[in-house]
Amino acid sequence: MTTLEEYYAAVADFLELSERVGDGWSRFSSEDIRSPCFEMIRRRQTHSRRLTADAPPDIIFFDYHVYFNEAFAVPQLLFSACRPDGSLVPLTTLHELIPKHLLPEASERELVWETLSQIEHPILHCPIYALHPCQTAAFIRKIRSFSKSWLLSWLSSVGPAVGLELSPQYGIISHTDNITSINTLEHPIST
Amino acid sequence: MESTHTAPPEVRGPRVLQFELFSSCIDSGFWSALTRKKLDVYGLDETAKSIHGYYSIGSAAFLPCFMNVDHASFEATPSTDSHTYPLHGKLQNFNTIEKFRDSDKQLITDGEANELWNLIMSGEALVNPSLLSRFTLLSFVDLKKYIYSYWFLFPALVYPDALVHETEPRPIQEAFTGEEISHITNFVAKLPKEQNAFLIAHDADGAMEILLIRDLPLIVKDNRKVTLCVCDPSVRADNPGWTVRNVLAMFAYHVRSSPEYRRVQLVCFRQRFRDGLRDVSHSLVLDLRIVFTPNQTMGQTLIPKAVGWERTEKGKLGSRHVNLSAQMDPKKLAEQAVDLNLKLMRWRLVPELDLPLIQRTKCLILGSGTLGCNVARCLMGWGIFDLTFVDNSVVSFSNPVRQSLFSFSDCLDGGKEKSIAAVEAVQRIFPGVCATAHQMNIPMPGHPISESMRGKVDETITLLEALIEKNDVVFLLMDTRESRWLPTLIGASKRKIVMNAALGFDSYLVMRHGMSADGAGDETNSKKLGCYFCNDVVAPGNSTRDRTLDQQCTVTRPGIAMIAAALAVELLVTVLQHPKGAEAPADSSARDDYLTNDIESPLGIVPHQIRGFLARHNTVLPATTAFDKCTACSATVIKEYEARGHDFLFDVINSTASFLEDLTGLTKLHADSEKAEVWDLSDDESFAGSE
Ligand SMILES: [Zn+2]
Repeated sequence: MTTLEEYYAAVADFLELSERVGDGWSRFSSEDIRSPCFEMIRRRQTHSRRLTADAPPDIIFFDYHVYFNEAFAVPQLLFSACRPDGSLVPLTTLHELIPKHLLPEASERELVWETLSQIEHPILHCPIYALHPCQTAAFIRKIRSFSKSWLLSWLSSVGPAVGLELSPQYGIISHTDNITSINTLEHPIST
Repeated sequence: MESTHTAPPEVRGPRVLQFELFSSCIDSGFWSALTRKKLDVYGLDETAKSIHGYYSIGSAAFLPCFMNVDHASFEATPSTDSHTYPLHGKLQNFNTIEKFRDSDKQLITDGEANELWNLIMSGEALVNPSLLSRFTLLSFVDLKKYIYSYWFLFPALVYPDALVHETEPRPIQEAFTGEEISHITNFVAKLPKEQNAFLIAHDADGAMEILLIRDLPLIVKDNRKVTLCVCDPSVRADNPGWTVRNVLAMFAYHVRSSPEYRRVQLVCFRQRFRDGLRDVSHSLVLDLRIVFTPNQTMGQTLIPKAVGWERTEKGKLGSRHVNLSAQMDPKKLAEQAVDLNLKLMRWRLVPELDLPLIQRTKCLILGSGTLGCNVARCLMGWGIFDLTFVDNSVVSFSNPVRQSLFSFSDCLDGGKEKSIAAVEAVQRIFPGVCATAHQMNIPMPGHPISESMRGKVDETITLLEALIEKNDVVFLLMDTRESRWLPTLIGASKRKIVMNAALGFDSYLVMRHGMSADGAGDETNSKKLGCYFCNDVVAPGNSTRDRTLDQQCTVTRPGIAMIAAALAVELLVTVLQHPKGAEAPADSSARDDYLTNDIESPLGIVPHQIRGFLARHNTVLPATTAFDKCTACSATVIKEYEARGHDFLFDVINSTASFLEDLTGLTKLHADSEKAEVWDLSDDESFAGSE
């Protein structure tokens, strides 16, 4: 279980890291926002492939969103992908596109895919795929006992299965941070 | 150079500067937002609406020069992040495809040229150069077919006459020192986003000063050497992106009467993050010569032309169309969601599951009461949507609480016909169903019909035969047992899967009728399995005289019908997944290994019958072989039906029960038989084995 306040704090920490890595995670909200749980973060990842050598590249934008699932009291990862004309890419195509090297075990990836459901995006109102949050609480409980950046740890554990790339810079930066925070234990930095 | 417009390709002599035109990039959220605006706000209003977009100066190397619109394009203020800059847009959404197609593009282009020129001449764009980053979006939304037609204009002034490369474009490091570059980079990081262009003034001693573009007239007045810097969306090694064009036009306009500014250095500023560091090394420096027409230098009054309509994917000048029904049409969304749900079951639990086989199975549901309603719901859960409902009664006030497809309103005004109410209900539940209704009385043995009715009954039989023929599965869920006789016979003759469910007060029977199997084996699979009537030693008769438990379905425990309906569907699906299908041998609880032996259907064992007793929460799985004197499925009866057709059926319908009994030889057995029915089984009797 994660409280909304803990989620906000984790999001703020994560965005600070992302700002330093420069991979484009940003706060995502809407003027007609209805619930504080919709305080989301988003990242767009561009994927390009050429079907034949002289064909123009087939460009696909993967969209990753994290929001707070109230019922499970955990963050939830949502994803979809669209082409430049705004049409969504079917799930079967995505399944093919996601690089197999991102997870060592194909079965692990399948495990994540097995829990997908199609929901309506709380802000965009277009269909988006959601990873089922039932395992998230247990994972976060474990990770929080030793990691300050638990949101990052969680993202890097579930994200790759659906193609989310997280820069190795995160590891370097958050490692440095941990050392810093040990050195400055008496002066906690407030954000 | 596929996306430039004005400059002629490769002319001899001086090389003319070309700009990479924007490529539109629409987020799916933009279309959703536009759809809602059209429905909730715009209505038929076709006037231009102010929206905004953005572009990035940090695109990856392989990407075209994208301009983006998304769900936030309709909000009051543009939102940008560290790499992105705003574009000011106009949306004109037309009510018809004709108006969209026939709208005067030249008028729109000229209007944009006029506005751009005014922004430049008035000096407004000097204060806020991002005002020159513009787009117009023409659109038409077909909300029936969910086809979105659109055409972007990224207006750029054709001014000055030309810009000519004086040297080859070079990376920024060749023109500026590392210190100067980080000075520029830091300056850009602090600039407000409407300042997408700025100036570097160079003094004689080599010192440089970074200034806002609004200082241009002053710099020109002081005759300082100047470099124009523009935040550049392109990633190409030899071209700036489209927004640079209007900034250069503005620059040229303000220096037009100062010949010493005909040569200008342009920095196309680009940045991206690499390994956590801001990288600007792909920024370009261009040395350009500004070429004016004589008119342009002599206080010109003519408004320049504008260009910048986006081309189609095939490179033609024209609008684009995208079909978004898969993401917009609620019916399709429901279908995809249901489909995904079933796929998850396959991915997760039963990889061998042949979903397409299940989903294309067509089911005839005879009886749209308690059992029929629940069977239909469970079939839909499996993605079986080709349903045909048959019933002969109307929805009455007591029905909706048990018959899960009906509601109170179906009972009003005498009650809706059940088959029709059922079809309406499943369509409400899931519009993707293909459901039809037939309200009919199924002719029954021992219920004689008058000669005057014969023609009508004949039609009914023909219809029933046709319905059974075109379906793969027949569910027998009527409330009398003798009404099951005719479809049992026709189903056996046409070799269809026949599923049967019948209810007692707190007990149920679910079974599949046998289909002759080939191959040898023990007694449960060597021969055809029995049908509903095989265990009878009496022919079906008029049950208004002879009580049957089927008749009592309205006084069953309410959960019984739900359990039995669910089991009937699950048994069907298990049979469908069995390699031998309907000819699958029966697993029976009579055999000790029924809980441990190998399972051939990926969903589990395929019993012949499932009998449950709720009072003791006991379930048994008997298996019985077909009875050679069966009044419904024996070879004698089937042959007679196939030879004599309806005449034979009318003989049965109009006769007493003994007609069939005589035919099958049952009469001989009749003497010592009791009026035993499938239900007359005491609790302590063992169901093990065939009965
Ligand atoms: Zn039989």
